[in-house]
Amino acid sequence: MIYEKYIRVLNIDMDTKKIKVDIREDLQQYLGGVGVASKLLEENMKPELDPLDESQPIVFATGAATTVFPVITKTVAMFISPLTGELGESYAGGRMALTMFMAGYDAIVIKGKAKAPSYISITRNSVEVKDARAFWGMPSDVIGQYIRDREPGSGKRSILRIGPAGENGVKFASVCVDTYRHFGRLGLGAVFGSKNLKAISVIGDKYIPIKNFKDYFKVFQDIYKQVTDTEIMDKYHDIGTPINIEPLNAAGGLPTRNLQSGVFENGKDISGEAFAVNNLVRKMACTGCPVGCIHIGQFRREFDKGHEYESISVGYDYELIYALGSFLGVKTRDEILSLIEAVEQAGMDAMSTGVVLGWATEAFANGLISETETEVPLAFGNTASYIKAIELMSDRKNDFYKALGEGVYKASGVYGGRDYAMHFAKNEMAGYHTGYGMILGSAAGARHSHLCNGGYSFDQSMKEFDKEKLVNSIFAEEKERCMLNSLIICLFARKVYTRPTIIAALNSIGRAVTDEELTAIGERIYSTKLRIKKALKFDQLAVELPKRLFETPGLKGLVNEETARELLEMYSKKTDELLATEELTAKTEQVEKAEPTAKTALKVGE
Amino acid sequence: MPTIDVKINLTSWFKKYTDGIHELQMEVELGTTAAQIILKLGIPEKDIGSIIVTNDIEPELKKKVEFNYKMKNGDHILVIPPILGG
Repeated sequence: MIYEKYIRVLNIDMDTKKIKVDIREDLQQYLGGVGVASKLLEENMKPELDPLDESQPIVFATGAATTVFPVITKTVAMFISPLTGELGESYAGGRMALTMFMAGYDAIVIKGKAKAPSYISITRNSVEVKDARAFWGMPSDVIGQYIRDREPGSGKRSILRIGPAGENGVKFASVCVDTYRHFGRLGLGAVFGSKNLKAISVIGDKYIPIKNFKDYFKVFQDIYKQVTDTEIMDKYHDIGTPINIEPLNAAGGLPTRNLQSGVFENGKDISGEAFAVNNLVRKMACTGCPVGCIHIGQFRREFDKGHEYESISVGYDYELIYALGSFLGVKTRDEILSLIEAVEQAGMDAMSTGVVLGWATEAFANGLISETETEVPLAFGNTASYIKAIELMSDRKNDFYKALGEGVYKASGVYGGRDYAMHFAKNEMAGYHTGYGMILGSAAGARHSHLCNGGYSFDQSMKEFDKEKLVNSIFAEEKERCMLNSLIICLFARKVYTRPTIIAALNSIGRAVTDEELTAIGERIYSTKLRIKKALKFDQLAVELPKRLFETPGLKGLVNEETARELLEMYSKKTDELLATEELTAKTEQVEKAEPTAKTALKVGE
Repeated sequence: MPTIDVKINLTSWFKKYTDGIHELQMEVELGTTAAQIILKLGIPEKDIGSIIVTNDIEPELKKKVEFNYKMKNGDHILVIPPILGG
């Protein structure tokens, strides 16, 4: 907690409904956020068991500077990913970080499986596992309304919930947070479902006075001015990440029709500018963020004959437009928004959904599957079929859709077409066909996301291709982002939160840190993640790279697999070295300290 | 001084420097660099993510170049901003 020398961890057992609060001084060395969550995951996970075994944990954590500075708005969720079978890590904005902070918890660990569908209600003075049988089967937007009715109260409120896909164990099911935000990637929704956990409501009303307000406010204002008065964040507010569509398309880096091409002939029609001019109706922000990067678009849907229409609003960003647009050959903005809405109703990750459907479409065209399996004629650009397929996938209607719900790696293992199943270590690819940086960054990144280290940006920024420089840059960025995510700064604002700014911010709220300590924290967190991956039998060098990556020219033309493998080997050596160093340091510290870590159990509300 | 014909393609917010026009055709002196053309349009160097060159004569050849790249006849340069992302 802010101004305290400990991390306050709320433990919830869904099976026994037992609640416990731990006061953990030892976790302070991880700062907060992903550091604390990684350590708690490592302590609580059961590597020998299935990711969806009821004893596996879900861990949430807020950052060390959550909500008290601008754009520090996110919560991290960590779990064993049912999609990849290894490290699960996902971030969401919205109000959850604020409400956890105001309810008095830095981290939450959920274990066990409820005997019947349930939801968790968390307030400052109570934590309860409640009956949610009536909500099972309902889409996430409806659940939000019901939970609001059931959990009235003052203070800030955040509601997390899953849709049918999470209940049915789709391995890339998402968790919706406060309407337009999600823990999207890697299947947290399926882990919720495996615990009979439909929703979580958090209400916080704790008042935390700021000490030494003068120093704090000076730092706050400096950051606020950078965020609002400079050009750094303008682009995120203006058109937002969809601005990427046009330049990536022009440069041949926009994955199109299951990466059969890096250029989409209808790119202009689905560009960020086109969405802004024609569909944008609202911009929103996470609590504590003055930027407002959440873009809400509207489309019209006919719900009955006789010209009966309704307007539907959905959030859109670059990744969604790529995955449900160019990747599926969908040519119009309204169709893309309708697909986003279908994914939202099902409660699935939009990126994974788009990529598995892209593979299925090509497999269908190649005769690996037929309409007997798909029930609809899958074809690039056929939005009506895709909407139906999303529903069938979410319901796990037949063997084919069950396989599809396991992710593109497993589905292609059953039906063939692995060469064009676009994944990195079983996680469906993000929308950047930019070159070796993207391939290495995603394949080697701790959670196989483009956000682990921003590998795609090195493809742009590196003046000349230099293997060692690329490996070193991605390795350094991965560690740095571990540190940033211990705070948890929205990565859009990483240029605002430079090291001096972070140090000033933390110092002003009573958490003195040095530049060297921040470096050490980043390495400590990354090592923890690597240990988790090792325990889960992840082998960096055994990662399969889809052949399609090397057949379709991208931002830098064609890249080759041999070089990509060489880069992976070089990177693997660096992670081995880091682990060895950290293990040695840990052993030395153990001998030197030889005293137990502080772990105290308290009651809720204490 | 001999001259060459080149094309400049601007995407995204760079179009504000050309009143919304995304493609320009220019006749420039031989030896002109990519930087000279781009900076002449008023685009700040710090805002540029990458410059990609294709050529009308060999359209299949596409390469990322630096600011000091000397333009050739038929070159088509694509100026793209840094990719926005987390």
